[in-house]
Amino acid sequence: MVKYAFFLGCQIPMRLPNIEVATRKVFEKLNVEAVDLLGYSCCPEPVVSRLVDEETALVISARNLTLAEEMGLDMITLCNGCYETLAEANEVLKHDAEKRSKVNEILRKYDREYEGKIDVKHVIEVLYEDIGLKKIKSLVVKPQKMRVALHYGCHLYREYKSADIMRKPRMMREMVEQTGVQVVDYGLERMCCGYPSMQASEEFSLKERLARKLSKVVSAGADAVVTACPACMIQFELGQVMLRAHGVQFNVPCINLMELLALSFGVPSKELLLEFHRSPVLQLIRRLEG
Amino acid sequence: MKSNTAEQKVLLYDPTRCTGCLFCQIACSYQHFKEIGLEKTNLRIIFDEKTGEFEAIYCQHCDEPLCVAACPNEAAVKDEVTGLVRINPIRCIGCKTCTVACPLSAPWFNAERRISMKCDFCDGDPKCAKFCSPQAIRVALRKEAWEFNKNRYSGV
Amino acid sequence: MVVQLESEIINYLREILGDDLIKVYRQRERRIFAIIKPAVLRRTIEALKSKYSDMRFMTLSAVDNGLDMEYLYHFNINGIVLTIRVLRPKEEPILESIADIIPAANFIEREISDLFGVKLVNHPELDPSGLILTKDWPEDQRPLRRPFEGVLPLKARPVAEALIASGCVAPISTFVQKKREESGLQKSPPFPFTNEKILGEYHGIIKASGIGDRVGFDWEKRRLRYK
Repeated sequence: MVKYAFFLGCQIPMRLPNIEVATRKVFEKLNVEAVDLLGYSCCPEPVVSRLVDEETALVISARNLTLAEEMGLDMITLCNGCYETLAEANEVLKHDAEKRSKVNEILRKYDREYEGKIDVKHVIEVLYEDIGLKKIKSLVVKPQKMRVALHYGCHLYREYKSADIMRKPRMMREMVEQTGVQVVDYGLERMCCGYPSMQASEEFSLKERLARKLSKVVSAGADAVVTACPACMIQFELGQVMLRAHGVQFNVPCINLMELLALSFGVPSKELLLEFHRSPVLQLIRRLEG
Repeated sequence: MKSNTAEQKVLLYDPTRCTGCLFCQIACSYQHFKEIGLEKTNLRIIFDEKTGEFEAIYCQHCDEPLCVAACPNEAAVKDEVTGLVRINPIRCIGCKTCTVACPLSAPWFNAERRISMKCDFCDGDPKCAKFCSPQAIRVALRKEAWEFNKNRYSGV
Repeated sequence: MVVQLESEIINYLREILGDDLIKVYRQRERRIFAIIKPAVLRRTIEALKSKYSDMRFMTLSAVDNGLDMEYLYHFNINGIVLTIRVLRPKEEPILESIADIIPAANFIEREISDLFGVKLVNHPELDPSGLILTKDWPEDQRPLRRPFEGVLPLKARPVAEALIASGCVAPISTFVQKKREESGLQKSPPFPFTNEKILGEYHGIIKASGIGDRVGFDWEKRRLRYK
């Protein structure tokens, strides 16, 4: 039994509960116990808080980390963004004594103290390292016969222990391959989906990033895009809707890694709240199920 | 090459790591102009459609800076200790000579303030490097940058 | 001699103001700053005037920092410059007149009132406006006045507000709540806003980190002070 403190973030429970449902089903099958963090807050969101007010961002992250420390559990995140923010804060606080004492001074007023006892892990790392591909493969009862293009997401490249930025993306690819899908290469895997630049310039984000990626995905003949990050998913799905206003038509389904795993483990598709998708995922799954 | 500058800190960009998320540009824009945008930034990431690769236009804080040599009003100055090249906004007369003289055109003309602007290394803690997830742009020593750029661009 | 007088002034301010004195500091020789609460401004000046009969009012200056108006009253006491600093939120842009205590403040107050568009309260002049600008000058075009906003860029405001107020940047809809319950999840995940006690702790922690003052957050109304 593997036990973790479960950090959900904001977007998944509030806007994409389908990912949360799928993850809980996958954890159940794989025997991962995920303990909810009572009173956790936003990680916080990087564009606004980390950029505008670094000090507060560090305090908010530290507070979230202490919640997991209280339970004595490592933290698991579903979202790439939350992963980077929390892991970065953890790294900074572990090594920068000055910042740590500043943060602890504030936390101590509320009987909290950051000690640096835990690690922050992405769900991909946990499934790959703690569960293993073998176990995952053995549970695949319904191989998904489709061609998928992978989108890893920028924050997944963040590495602290080594310089190998492809470590987690490789894990994701190997994991996806276990579900019976065929992974197609389209050449622009590394390119960002455009979510962070959406706040800066909508047109640039949609046309220069999303549309560029999608046209490669379509010409490579993929049936769907698989992502590990809810923010990328919002960009792929909502972005396609917004692109229509710019006269660009795409209709590529986008599914989350956890949903793909849940489907391949034989979880009935109607239990997975797939109607939350704004891209034609339901149609794709119906076609596969025949 | 002067050997005593080898230990100075500069920015180093590795295109094989860049995802083009432009967080560096957003961070730069906020740091210097308190805006969340892509227009006013001291570094730029461009995408080459033919090769499918990214490239960055950013200040190398050259050993022998052409912007300093070209500046008619001594607004662009190089700090001999830190190695940083900066433009004094009060001395700059907005003649745009530096933007032409620089081989990368790293200084750019800010039409609103009517002066040239360029990377100031965020006073020693560059925000672009801080927010880069794959560490495509990072703070490195000048000798590392020499080595890297020699391998990548020699023969181009 | 100078040092003695400096500490005498500082101690006198501490003594008459108590908790209403936010901060007093000696920046360098012959230069003292005192930050006080706006409510005790007149009382402070009256007390200083009665203790130091040779106190001279030098001038009044005003700074518009976006969220607040700061007024700095400069006095000269025997060669020592004492500056009384008062911060007034711009939600209610007023300047309380001290011209009845210090007649020399009369004109500078009228000038500041004109240029910053702040309302003069209790001024001896019946209609103090129109000293620098014409009397029909539009209220929204004051030359030295800055827009009412903090450091946050326009696009960052809604997200920052949600983050500080509720601890979550994405709002939840009743539709999502219903769907969550149907599929066996909690109605809402355990965010701070679901529990008043936890929200209190969360607010306390970020308030202590100082973001509220830096970006301009109204803790009572739980929203940003500007749009």
